[in-house]
Amino acid sequence: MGVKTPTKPVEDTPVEDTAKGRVARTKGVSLLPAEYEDASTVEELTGVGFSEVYRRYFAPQMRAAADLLREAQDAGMELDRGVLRDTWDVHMTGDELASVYTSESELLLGD
Amino acid sequence: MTDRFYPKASRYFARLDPERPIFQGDIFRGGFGAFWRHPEAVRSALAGSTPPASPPFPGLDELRSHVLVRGQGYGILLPQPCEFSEQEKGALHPYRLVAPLFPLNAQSGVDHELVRAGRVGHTLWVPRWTGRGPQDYFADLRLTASVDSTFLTRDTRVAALSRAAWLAMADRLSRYFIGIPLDVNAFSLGQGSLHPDST
Repeated sequence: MGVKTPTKPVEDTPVEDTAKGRVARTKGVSLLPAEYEDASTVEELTGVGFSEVYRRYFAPQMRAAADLLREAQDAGMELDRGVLRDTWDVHMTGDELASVYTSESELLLGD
Repeated sequence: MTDRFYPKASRYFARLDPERPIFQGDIFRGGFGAFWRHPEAVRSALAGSTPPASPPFPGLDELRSHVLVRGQGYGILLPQPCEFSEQEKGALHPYRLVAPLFPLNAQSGVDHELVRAGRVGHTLWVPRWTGRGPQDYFADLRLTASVDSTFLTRDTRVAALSRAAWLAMADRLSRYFIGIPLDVNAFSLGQGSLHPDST
């Protein structure tokens, strides 16, 4: 059985330099028994709890991920691309193929 | 099938600061690619015949004389583990992977709209990076070449990709080299702060 974290916003301990403290919110994450055991072991041996581990190691990646995805969406990209295209528009005519072997080398340097 | 593979042209490039480290996706003046042609295939094409089934392996001099160098002004730096960024190991390694850019014009030999839609597998669409110039470009991944890092300097860099365009480039390369689209979620989580524009 998984160990559930609270599913409703919970008042956490006040954070220094803030007037109102912090409102903790959860995405309803559950840990598998083995995961819970690992997290507990880390906490027992280091004194660093699971929330701290998350904030220190995983949350920064989530921020970077969210920034990149938001930027891509704002730039007009379609992000739901989890399937292979079923068609590819790749054509090469006989003339194009022949040109690969009959072309001279060229090298321009740009403006 | 997606409607929009690439970022909009207005969001394709990052602001180019001369101090920005050289990074994959940067575009350089003088970029070029190469294709090592078999001398027998060249001779057959010129004679209008098909290449022999078991051609002799050419000597080194003949190999050199038949390499096709293609460059029409610019090239784009592609990812390679040893030069992921100038700030990583890039400054120490001579190898750089570059794909030449070609103008999307009447001589380009590809359907312009299909390239812009991301539907031509060996191409990477690149809009023009300045307000002037008549056309946009495409990188031909079939002519990708490994070149000396000395070719690529900040002085010859003309444009750099935004993070959104960087994502599109990585996806395009995954499809071209492996045949599998990028796992956007995994990529977004794994990219961390590697990109110069990441904060």
